[in-house]
Amino acid sequence: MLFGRRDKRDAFERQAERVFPSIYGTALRLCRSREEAEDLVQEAMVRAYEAYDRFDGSNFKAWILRIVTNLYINRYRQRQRGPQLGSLDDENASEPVGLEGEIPDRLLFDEALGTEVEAALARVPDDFRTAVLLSDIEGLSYQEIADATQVPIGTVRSRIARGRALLRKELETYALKEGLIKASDLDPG
Amino acid sequence: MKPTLEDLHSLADGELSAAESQVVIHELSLDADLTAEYQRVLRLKKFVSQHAEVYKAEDAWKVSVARLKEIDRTRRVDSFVTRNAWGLCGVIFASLVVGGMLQRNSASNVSGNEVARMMSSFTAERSSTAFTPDERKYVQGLFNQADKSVNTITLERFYVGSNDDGRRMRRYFLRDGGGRMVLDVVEGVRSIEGMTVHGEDPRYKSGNMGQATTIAWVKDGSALLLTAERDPSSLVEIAKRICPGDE
Repeated sequence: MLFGRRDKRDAFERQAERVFPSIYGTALRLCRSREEAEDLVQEAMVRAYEAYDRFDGSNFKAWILRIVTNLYINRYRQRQRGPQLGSLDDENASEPVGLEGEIPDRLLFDEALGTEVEAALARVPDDFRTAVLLSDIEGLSYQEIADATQVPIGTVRSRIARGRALLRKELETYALKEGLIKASDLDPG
Repeated sequence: MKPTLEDLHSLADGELSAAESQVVIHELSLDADLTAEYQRVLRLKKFVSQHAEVYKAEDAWKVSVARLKEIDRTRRVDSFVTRNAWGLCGVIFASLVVGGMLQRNSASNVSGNEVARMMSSFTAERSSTAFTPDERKYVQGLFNQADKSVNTITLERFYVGSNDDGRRMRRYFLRDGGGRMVLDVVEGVRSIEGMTVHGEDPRYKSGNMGQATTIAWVKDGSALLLTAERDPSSLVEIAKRICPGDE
């Protein structure tokens, strides 16, 4: 019995250690507060360990990120939720944004750095940010994101499309504000 | 039908079926703007994945591992207690019973409540007003050179007997300038519990029986109980004179 529990913890720790930077990074990007992120990570680790017997053995990273995201949505986000932007609901998500007057990628991406990506991502509203980071940074599939965020897969598609467009806008705004690019760089077409 | 923006993102993410992909790719080949938008999606996706910061998480990992260990330790204790709950209850109950019996049957520990009963249940087997040589030797040992230290205290008579616990007892009727006193010596007592400690010397404990005050102390495996109608302090002074070697 005791050895069984020790083996279980060893197996859990081996898998968790490999994906821990993703767990921690996701928690930080969701909470945008180191203290809350650390609380979220610890709670998620305990939840995951207690539920490890029920893990189906397929994709540990997706499974534990689902726990992190669920916990964040159900508990932490309610606590820290600020006003959401009314124009960013999912109904408008399928509309293309930023096609006109957009900064050429070579200017935008050549100048931006990692911290700027994180800052821009942090300004994207919660639901869209969660979908983008789980997809583009953590590499989860739409179905896995749908499971993690407890929404239909169609909503995930919308949020990713809309979230990336918003992220791009944020990067442009940041680059203009910091003088990395000029308004005259805007792509006319 | 022209693909939506969502279709382009789904294609970039590999989330379309083979048939859906073919349709979208075909549409892309017909529309330069759509192709440009698709390229932007791909570049943004690549850019984000490449430029996202990698956070150091060593400290958080250590905290997590410690927490998991703590959980296991707690579970181990819980499991042990749960599995052996009845056994543990039995052990505790048995300990209480055995402890109580030992306490009750202990010949050497006397509670304050028992002191009065010990004294009142004394049954004399013999009385005398003069010591035999053996008794003088006993009294000298008990009183520590009684001839000198008790020279102002007169022994009127004494009794030898036992109480209903079966303990051997001697009862000395003494007198000094203040009046009569009774000194009971009960053998086989190592400690007296439950009586009030008198003054700063913890060896002397006091209690009242009616008008009389009793000072109790232990010496050489016997309880000495000095009783008189006096205040406890003066009885302690006499007790110290009776057993000066204890000071």
